[in-house]
Amino acid sequence: MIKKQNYHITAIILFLVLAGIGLTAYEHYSLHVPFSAQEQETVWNIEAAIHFEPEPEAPTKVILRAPKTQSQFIVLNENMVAKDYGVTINEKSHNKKITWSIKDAKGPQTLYYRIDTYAVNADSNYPTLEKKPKVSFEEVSGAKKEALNALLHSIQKKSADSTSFSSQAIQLLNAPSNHNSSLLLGMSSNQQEVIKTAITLHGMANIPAKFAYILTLHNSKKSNLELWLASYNGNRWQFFDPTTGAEGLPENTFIWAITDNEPILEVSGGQKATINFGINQENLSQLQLAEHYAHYEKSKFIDYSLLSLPIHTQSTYKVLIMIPVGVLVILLLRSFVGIRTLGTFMPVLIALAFRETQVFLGLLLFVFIITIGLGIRYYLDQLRLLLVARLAIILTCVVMLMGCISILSHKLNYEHGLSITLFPMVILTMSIERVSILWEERGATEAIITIIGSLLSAVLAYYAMVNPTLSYLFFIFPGLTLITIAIMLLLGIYRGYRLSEFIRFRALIKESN
Amino acid sequence: MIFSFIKQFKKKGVLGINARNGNYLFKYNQRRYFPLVDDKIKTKNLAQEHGIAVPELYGIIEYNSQLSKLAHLLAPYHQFVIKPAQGAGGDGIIVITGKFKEYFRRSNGSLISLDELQYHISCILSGNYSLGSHPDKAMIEYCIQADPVFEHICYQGVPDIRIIVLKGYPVMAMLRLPTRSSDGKANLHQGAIGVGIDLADGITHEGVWHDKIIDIHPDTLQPVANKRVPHWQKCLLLAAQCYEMTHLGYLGVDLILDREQGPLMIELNARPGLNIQLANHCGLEHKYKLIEQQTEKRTALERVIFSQEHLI
Repeated sequence: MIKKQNYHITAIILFLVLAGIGLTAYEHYSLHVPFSAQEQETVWNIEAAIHFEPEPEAPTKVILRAPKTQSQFIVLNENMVAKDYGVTINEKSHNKKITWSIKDAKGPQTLYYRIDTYAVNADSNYPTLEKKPKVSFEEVSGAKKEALNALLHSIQKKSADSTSFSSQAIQLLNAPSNHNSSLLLGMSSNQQEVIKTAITLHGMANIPAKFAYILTLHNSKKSNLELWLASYNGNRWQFFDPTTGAEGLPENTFIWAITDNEPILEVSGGQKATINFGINQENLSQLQLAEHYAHYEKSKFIDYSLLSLPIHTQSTYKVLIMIPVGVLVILLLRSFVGIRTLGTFMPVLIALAFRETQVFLGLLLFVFIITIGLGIRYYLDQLRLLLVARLAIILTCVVMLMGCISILSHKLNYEHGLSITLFPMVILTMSIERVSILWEERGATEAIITIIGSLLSAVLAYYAMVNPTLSYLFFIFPGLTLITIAIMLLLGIYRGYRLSEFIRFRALIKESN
Repeated sequence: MIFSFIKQFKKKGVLGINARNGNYLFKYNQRRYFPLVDDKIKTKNLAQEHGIAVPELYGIIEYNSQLSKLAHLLAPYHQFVIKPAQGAGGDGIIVITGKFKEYFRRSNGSLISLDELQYHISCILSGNYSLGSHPDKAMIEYCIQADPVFEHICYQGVPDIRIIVLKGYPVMAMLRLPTRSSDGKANLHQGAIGVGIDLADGITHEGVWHDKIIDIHPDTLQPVANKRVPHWQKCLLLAAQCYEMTHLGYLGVDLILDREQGPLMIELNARPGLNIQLANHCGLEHKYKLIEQQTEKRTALERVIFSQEHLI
């Protein structure tokens, strides 16, 4: 029967541990909730401001291509300020296509689009939506076609793979001495033209290539998108500097969008359209970040966690959620070490009071009140009162005593003394009663050992409960509380010796030596 | 170091509290039978039904209003014991061994007035001595006349015999001798001496006092070993019979040897302590294992004989 029950308990423990680890891992890895509250992350607020002047008497339509969450960057928040405009959002391609429309706008217009983003793993690649991106380019004919073919030929001769192909293409197109390039690009060395021609060359070589709009992240009021070449090497997108042909984005670069020849901003029914970007760096604790992120991802988990409660309720729960930890400490001390305490969980309540009074003062006040209380109890004993009446009188005396201490410490300008009110009076009263019975029945030694045991466990429980790392972890990761239950279950089936028993029964093994 | 301790303890078969609770108490003692032994009045009634010898009950006080009739109730008796029905660990017991004018003489020689006695009983009634401060009853019963055999190794009070009974088999026994420091009480944690008793012949070994092994009584300076407990077979049989009576598989049976009536069962304990191991210089675990292997149905007498033959 015991065996069977043990299997049962083992199963529950396993389940709780797995569920606890699973929940915690889900929060940490999937929702990016950090394991430490202190960690700071840089969040970039990127604000795109679109200015234009609407054409009179015509409906206006503004299309902006904006980023979606990428593997390097997570978009936490998205806001737009576009009063009176209707908005539609299409997220089917690599980019988010936002369309604002209005029937009749008057005067210069400004629309704002703002995202908060932060880098998760800088090493990962830009996502690819299709298995193999489609190759698309503009067909040309005539002399330009000849020039393109000639260029393609010389690039292919010098390149081994798509990476070197892209580099070579850009270098050749930028070389002033190459007459084919000059023919294709004319005199202007417009980067857009360079990239457009490069994309055509890629298309002819059957390599997918696109325009990449990138943004360098640094604090700035006015920043503009840079245009790069993106080419697909068969398993990931690579990015090339359009002047040097070098592969790889510099650090702190944010890819705003990659497109086939479509511009970032299109305005119909308006003119003088401009877009510029304001970038602002912000430091957020990882937890705030996780909250934002969860909110953005619409994760039900955080929505229904303690974090969703109002702040003042949260602070209550920050205390409450640590009580199991304190209780676990007491459990360990009782069933592993064998410390005797007054009442099972009384030390936890004393430890809670220590939170406000600080340990040393708390210990002092506790011992003081218990001592005075014992004196009163001893006197009341002579009066032969009934139990409940006696308890009521002791409780009242404890309250008065606490009042006196508060007044005294206030007069002495020692504000710490006021926190004594947080000592649980009923617990103090019961402790006085228990100590006094112990004292009478088992003698002073036993009573003092028990008091010391209680205070020691209270102090240990206190330090476990106020540990900032632990309290952060338990508050944020409910999975840990499940693991706590698992540990409690384990202690519940612990049948071994207590440390104190080695002392208690030492005479039994001495004799055999 | 810890591991060497664990190894030595295991070898000796020392039973720890965790193992006692987890492996024996929960397994053999069903909670619904606990009230039978937690309330001494119920135990006494049950024992009388089963023909187990107990000290005679003089009266029960349940309400404070009955206290006015206390003098009348006590009038016929010169000696008596007042104890809480649900007391634990010998707390709240007053033994009156005589009267002096309007005072009562306690076993330690001090005098106590009727008034003080009434207050003590009212404390008992309000639950001062019961587990969890439940309202309690006070019982007044026959004061046992200790058998003179232990006269020289006993300081005040009355020695009692604790026998651990597992599944009805007596497993271990000890004699508990009050000392000056135990204030006449026979509880080890209050300072009484525990002396191991050989199950086979009822002869005492060395004793243990405050976790230390001793061979003479600290107050009377008489050796505690090699005393033969009278009526030993009867004691064991009484203890074994308590199993059928209570359905509790793990019991501590407390007996007192009365000069005329022989062994009387005074109390049963469903959570017997582990100090008996110290008194007997022997762990309980190996003996329990042997008992647990017994599947044959035996009568109380057969169980006593089995224990005497196999548990040495």
